[in-house]
Amino acid sequence: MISANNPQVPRLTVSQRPLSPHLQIYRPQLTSVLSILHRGTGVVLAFGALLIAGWFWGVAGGVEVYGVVRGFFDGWFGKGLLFIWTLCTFYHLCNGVRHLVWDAGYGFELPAAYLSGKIMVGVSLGLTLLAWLV
Amino acid sequence: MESARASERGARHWWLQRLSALALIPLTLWFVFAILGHIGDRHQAALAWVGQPGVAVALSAYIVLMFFHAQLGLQVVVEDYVSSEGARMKTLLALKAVNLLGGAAAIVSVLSVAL
Repeated sequence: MISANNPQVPRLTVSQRPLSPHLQIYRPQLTSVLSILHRGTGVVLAFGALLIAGWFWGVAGGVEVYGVVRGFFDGWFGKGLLFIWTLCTFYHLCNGVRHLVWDAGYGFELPAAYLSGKIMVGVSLGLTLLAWLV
Repeated sequence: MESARASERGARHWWLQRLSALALIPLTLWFVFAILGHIGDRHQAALAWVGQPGVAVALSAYIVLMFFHAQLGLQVVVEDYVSSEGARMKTLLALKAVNLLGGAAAIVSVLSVAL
């Protein structure tokens, strides 16, 4: 509004306007990487949800349909997807708890955020191994 | 439905995302271990597991909340990255349709076994 009549401020066309800095100019930090991974795992899990729905569809669909679904999850591809799903689930779960604690107003100090981030990664890896080895 | 103001809708979305997250903590911990234990079952065993009333109730709660939470989360991702309004609307509609169909398929499957 002010700049419209101000000769000091150059008028810029849409393509000349300054953009927000792009993500790639920032040095990656543990906190930012973990934050991006939260969204990434969330998107992966949305696809995983359809995979899980497929298993229940198979159970309800009778012996033959179930056989196909069971065969899929028994193969290396299905097993691999299931392992990635497990890892993403525990990561998103543990980091989600971290987010809920922040929402409640705790743990915002930088050392606390780093510590909780490292603990969270450890716990999610631990749970994944526990779920697959036990 | 009366048209809520954008700010109210945003706050509602924020709360629903957190509330569904909270409910999903115990459900997810249970579900991951449970499904990994049953995904290789023979058909009879899988039917017996899903058919237990307690299991069917927990599965239904998990499925509804998980698809709902996925919808809320993906909606934010689309709103953040799809800037053209037309494409955003189409993507959001497609997203809703997929989550609705996926959730409905899973729920109906569980209930058809359990009931």
